[in-house]
Order: sequence, then structure tokens, then C-alpha cells
Amino acid sequence: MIQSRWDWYLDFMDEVPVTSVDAALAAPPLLRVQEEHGSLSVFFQGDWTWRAPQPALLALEQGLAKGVKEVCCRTEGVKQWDSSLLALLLRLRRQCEEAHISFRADTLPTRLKRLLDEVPRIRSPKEPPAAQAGLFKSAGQKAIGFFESAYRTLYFTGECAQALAKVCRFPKALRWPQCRMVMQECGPASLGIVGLVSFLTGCILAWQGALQLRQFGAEIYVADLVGVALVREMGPIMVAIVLAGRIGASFAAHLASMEASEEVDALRTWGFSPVQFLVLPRLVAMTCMMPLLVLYADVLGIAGGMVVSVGFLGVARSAFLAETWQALALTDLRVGLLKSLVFAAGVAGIGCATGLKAERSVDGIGDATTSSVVKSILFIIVVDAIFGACSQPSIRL
Amino acid sequence: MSGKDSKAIVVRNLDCGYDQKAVLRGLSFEVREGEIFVIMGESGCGKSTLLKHLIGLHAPSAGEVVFLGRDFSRAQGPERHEMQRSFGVLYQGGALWSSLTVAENVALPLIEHTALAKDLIDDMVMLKLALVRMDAYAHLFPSELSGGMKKRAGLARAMALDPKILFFDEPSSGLDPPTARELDDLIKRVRDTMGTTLVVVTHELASIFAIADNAMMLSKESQGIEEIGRPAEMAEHSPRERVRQFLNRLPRAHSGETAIYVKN
Repeated sequence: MIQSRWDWYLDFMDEVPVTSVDAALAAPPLLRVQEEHGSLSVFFQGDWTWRAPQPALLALEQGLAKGVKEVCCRTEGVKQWDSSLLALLLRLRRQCEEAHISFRADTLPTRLKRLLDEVPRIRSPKEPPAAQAGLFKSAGQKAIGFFESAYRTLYFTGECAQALAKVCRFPKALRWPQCRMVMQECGPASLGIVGLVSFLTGCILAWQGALQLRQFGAEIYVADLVGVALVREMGPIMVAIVLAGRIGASFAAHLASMEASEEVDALRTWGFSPVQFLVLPRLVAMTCMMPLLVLYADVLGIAGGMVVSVGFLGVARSAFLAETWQALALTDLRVGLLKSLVFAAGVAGIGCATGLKAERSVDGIGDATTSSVVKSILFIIVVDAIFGACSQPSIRL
Repeated sequence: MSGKDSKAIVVRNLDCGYDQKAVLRGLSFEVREGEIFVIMGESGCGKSTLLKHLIGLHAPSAGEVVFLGRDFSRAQGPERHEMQRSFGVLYQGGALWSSLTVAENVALPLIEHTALAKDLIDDMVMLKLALVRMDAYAHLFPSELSGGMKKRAGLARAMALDPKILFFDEPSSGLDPPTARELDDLIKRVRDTMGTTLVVVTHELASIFAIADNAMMLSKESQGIEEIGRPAEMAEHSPRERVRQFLNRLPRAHSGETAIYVKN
């Protein structure tokens, strides 16, 4: 079938000079209409290519509207052409069919006529009928989707735990070179952005705290506020959010592109577990590096608070440090570091899981990346709220 | 139409490479109008790199690429855009835009580059899709197509503006033999009846012998042209052993040095 269509199309193309790329359009396309005894003759003249401005088809439409019984196309005057002319003839014929007007193609070149005869056999796209989703059906589908997603998450977590247990027994099972590369990316390569964000967070906390505490002449307690808030809450949260955007998203994009290029299938075919090979090094690296980054962020955040307190609020540096030292308890640091471990495992796990279940397409990679960041931030906030509730003085960890 | 011997593509002293690293140096060759010109060579010799430099995806570090008498490598602004519309490219995997349907993929060049009415564009799109047997799948997205279908849809898109020169990047790769043969036949008929100049990058021997008027073999070692000629003649009489080995599918004769690295 394809052969015959090409025969007709190409033979037709061969009959009339094909337009050259740089050929100047010698004659603009002209359309002349002549009506005689209920028969409309349509004369095509000049160069009919997409490069030339198409002539107005008003005369043709008016001619058709006059109630003619027959349309006869003549292309003897055409000098250059391309498929825009062919498409125009197709369109004219369709209009004639809709208006029950006879379309005479016998004056056209024979092969063009054959092509025109062939084109009605263009199969119209068979779009499936849109599914009518009722309220119960969509609610049911959402519920099924939720449980499936929960099952996948549990399964993935179990796989990770299993792989981790294996690594604990056989440390060589972990791909340490890759783990070190990810550690480098998570840790040293993130120092700049984490430091800047933490320092500014400390400054902002100090400013906002000072505005309130100044009313009571208690500027010195800015040190307590900055120290405790950073070490318990803001330090782990800011570091986790930065790493979710910087590292978690890159995990998702990398694994999604590996999934799309069948690299993950190749691992499975060889009997390697993708979780063991791809997820665990990232999980371990992130979990090792995040607590260290949180400590670094705490120090820089407190430094930011101190800069504001000493520079703008008139608090003595030694007083600020002494107050901070007094305000901070080891429990605060412990809570902060424990949170950072959970955040690290969550961000790395979410990044890898969304990457591994991504659709195998360009859109799939983009969706996985976005989804990873959104889910990670949601996870961080929810887990932090749970920690906040659990670490109240009455149930202090 | 221009004369038979007029040149569709002239390449002079072209240097191709990425990030200051030269892949090919000092290439000079000509492609006659209406010719099927095959660029061949072993993997990694720079076939696809050369194609990317020819179609302007990468700027050559030296030399020039002339299409139909106009220097494309130095063309800027509107002139460059105008010249870009004069050729079509069928990429290896089809390279269809994933967020558009098959019909929208073919329609986009027509919508952006022509002033044709929408219904006329719709007709042109369906015509081009019918020619590659993709009219029934016009509403599908690329992710819903098989490899061969993507390639056919890509060909319809490459022909959207009735180009004078068509570039094909590995057209046969990933296709079953009958489909690959069908594509080869299409390539020949496009040349025979429309006079379109076709540049085909491939290392499929069956395709090379079936379609090529002239073929150019690139060399990884010399970073240049190994030989240009008719494939059948080169396979028999080429003075270069590498060309004969390649075209006759013979194993390479190894030199004395070992290529195996043994790690203690």
C-alpha cells in the first residue's frame, strides 16, 4: 500500500517542476474563477508554494455559493508548486462533496487525479471514546491508587532495609566508589549553599526575635531563640530542603533517565538488585553527610544571629556566646541530629523511588524530578511536625 | 531545476569537534544535486558529529558548509532561518516532540513557517502522514508509538516543508529488515522522482549498497576522509584495506601490539 501511494505522489511531483529552495518566485500564485452554465472553472496559475502568499479564496467561495453544479480545476498555468497546492485541491474537493457539487478532476494531470482518488482513503484517527468517570468510580480509582502507592512505598522501604541488612553483614556489598562520589556531591559540594542559607536564616531569626524581645528589654534572649530554634528545627529543615532540591531531584532525574534508557532493566536481567546497586549508595551517602551538614549549618546560623546581635542590637559577643551555651541542651542537638538522619533517609529514598518508577519518556523524567522535590518537602514538614509533637517537655526524648 | 552537475552541498576544510576537542579535521567534499550521498564509517568515527555540524546544531571551528550556493555556516539571523527551512532532518529515533501528537508534530513547522490557512495545513499534515502510513495514528502521542512508527512520523515531519535537501541519521537502525528495505526504497524514489538531495548517515551495509550513489568513509585514525566513491567499486577495488574490510564485512587484521589490558 505504501509503495503505491508513494508512486502516485512522487510521479505527480515529477510532472510539475518542484520548487527550488532558493528559486525566486517568478510569478505569484493566481486563482481565477470562471462560471459558465452552472460549471465553475478554477484556473491555478503561477508559483503555488508555501513561500508565496496564498491568494484570497473569496472568489472561489463566492463561486461555490452561487449554486454551481460542477467545479473543474485547471493547473496548466502552474509553474512551481509544492504540497500546499495539492492540499488546496483536496480541500476544494472536500467542500464540493459537502455541498453536493460535482468535482471534475479529468482536466488535471492523470497522476494527480490518481493521487486525489487515493487520498479519501486516509484513515481518520480512531480516538477512543472519552471515559465517563462517575463520582464513585473516580473516588474508587483514587482509593486504589492510594493503596497501591502505599504498598509500593512499603515494598521499597522493605527492599532498602533488606539491602541495608546485607551491607551490614557484608560491607563489600555496598558500592563504595559510587557512595563516595555521592558523599562528595552531598557534603563538600553543598557547603556553599548550605552555609549561605543557614547564615541568613540565623540573621533573619535574630532580627525577627529582636523586634519582639526589645519591647521587654530582653535582647540578650535573641541568643536563646537563635540557638534553640536553629539546632532543634531550622538547621535540619533548611539543610534537608536544600538537599531535597539539590541532591534528591538529581537522584530522581538520574534514575528516571536510567529507567528510560533500560539501564535498570539491564541490572535486573543480570540479577542485580537496583536497590542494592543504585539506591543504597545514595541512601548511605546522604544519611552520612546530612548530620555533618546540620552541625555546620548550626554553627553558621548561630554566627549569623551573633553578627546581627553584636552588630545591630548592641549585645556583647561574649554575652551572646555565654547565653547560647547556657540555652542549648544536649537534647536539642540530639533531636536535631536525629531529625537530620530521618530527613536524609526520606529525601534519598523519595528521590530514588520516584526515579525508579518514572515513566519511560522525556515527560516521565521531568515529572519524577518535580514529584521528588514536592514529596520530599512534604515529608520534611510532616516528619518535623511529628517530631515537634513527640519532643514536648512532657515526653522529651 | 538546476543542472545535473550543480552542487547541493559543498563542504570546504571543515573542522568538527566539541569543547575544543577535534573529532574531524579539514573535511572537503561535495554532494551533487539529486544525489544520494552516504556518510559511513565505524562507530565513533564522527558520522553523527559531522551531521550535526552540517545541519547547524554545532558551529564548526573552521571551514564552511555551503547549501545550494549559499554559505550556511556563516549565515546569521533571517537568512539562516530561511536556509534552515530548506532542509529536513530525520533523526535516529524520530525525535518527535513528546508533548505534541503526531499530527501536531508535522503541523508545527507549517504553522510556524508558513502563512497557510489552518484547514489547508490540516490537509497537508494528513497528506504527509498518509504517505508514510501514519494517518490512522495522527492523534497518538510519540510515547504511544513503536520505533518504526516514530521514524515514519519523523519522516513525515522532515518532509513538512517540501525540503530540497533531506538528512537521515541512521534511518535503518532499530527497524526490522522489511521495514528497513521499505525505507530504503522510499529514499531512492524520493531522489529519483523529486530530485531531492539526500544525505544518509549509516553503517548498514545493505542500505549503503542499495541506495548510495556516492559514499564517503570517515576514518577515526586520521580524523578525516578515508575515501569517497561508489560503494560497489570501493568494495572491489579500493586501494585502502580498511575500506575493503568495512564494505566486505571482513574482520580487522590486528597489528602486533596487544589491546588487552590485564590488571594485576
